[in-house]
Amino acid sequence: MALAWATLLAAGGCAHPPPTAQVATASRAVRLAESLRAESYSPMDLRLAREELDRAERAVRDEDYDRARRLAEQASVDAELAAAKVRSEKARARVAHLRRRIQTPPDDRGARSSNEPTSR
Amino acid sequence: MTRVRECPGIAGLIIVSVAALGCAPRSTAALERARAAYRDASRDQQVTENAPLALQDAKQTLEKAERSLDEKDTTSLAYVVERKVEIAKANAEERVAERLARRLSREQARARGECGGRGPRSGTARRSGARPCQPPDGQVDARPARP
Repeated sequence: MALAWATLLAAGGCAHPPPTAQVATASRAVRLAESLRAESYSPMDLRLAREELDRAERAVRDEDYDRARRLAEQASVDAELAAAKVRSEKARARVAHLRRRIQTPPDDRGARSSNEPTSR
Repeated sequence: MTRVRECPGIAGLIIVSVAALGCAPRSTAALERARAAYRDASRDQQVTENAPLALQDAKQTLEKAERSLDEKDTTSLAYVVERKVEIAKANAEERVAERLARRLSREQARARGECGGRGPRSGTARRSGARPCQPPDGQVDARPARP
């Protein structure tokens, strides 16, 4: 019944359908950030993204779809930022590592080269 | 008496200002912050050169926020703009650092080849022993990408 009403209202341009795609996108973005270990590199952004995703899902259950869509969009962008920060942080760590190697005399290098971060 | 005569004028002024307010570009605090964030990033050469797509994405969201008639949507979109600008900055920093890392790797490989320390790894470092051992040319000056 609620679905029928929602459909009717959506057709009349008065309400929006559940933001299923936006919530799914946000969920994927959060999982990607987690897989990049954003927990240790950018914990604040990741936590924000998780909270927003959580609130978006709750808003979907409450049929507050506009609010759910806004929260899902915010969760997506916060998770993307967490991931972007991880990548830039890793690239900077690689530079710092290479610099340390340059400053180390060649004779001492052998023992340390195994610590080199993978370059991609 | 003068009060009575002024009244219609004041009423008219109020009506006109309310009407003007309704038509003027909206300027919520969130939208102002989003505009400023985008403006700053679009003037930052590191960002415009290294993350043009991410910046463009932020711009499109800003335009959407400006067009939106819903107060809550505007505020939410303005927030998204600010975060997208941050993403563009992070992307730019990543690219700058990656470029630097590639250069440092090349220089190290060359130095190793020339010093004969651990033997050449690539074909570019065949002139083994041609030069005395020294740190790679003093070009290692670029700092980690920070705006």
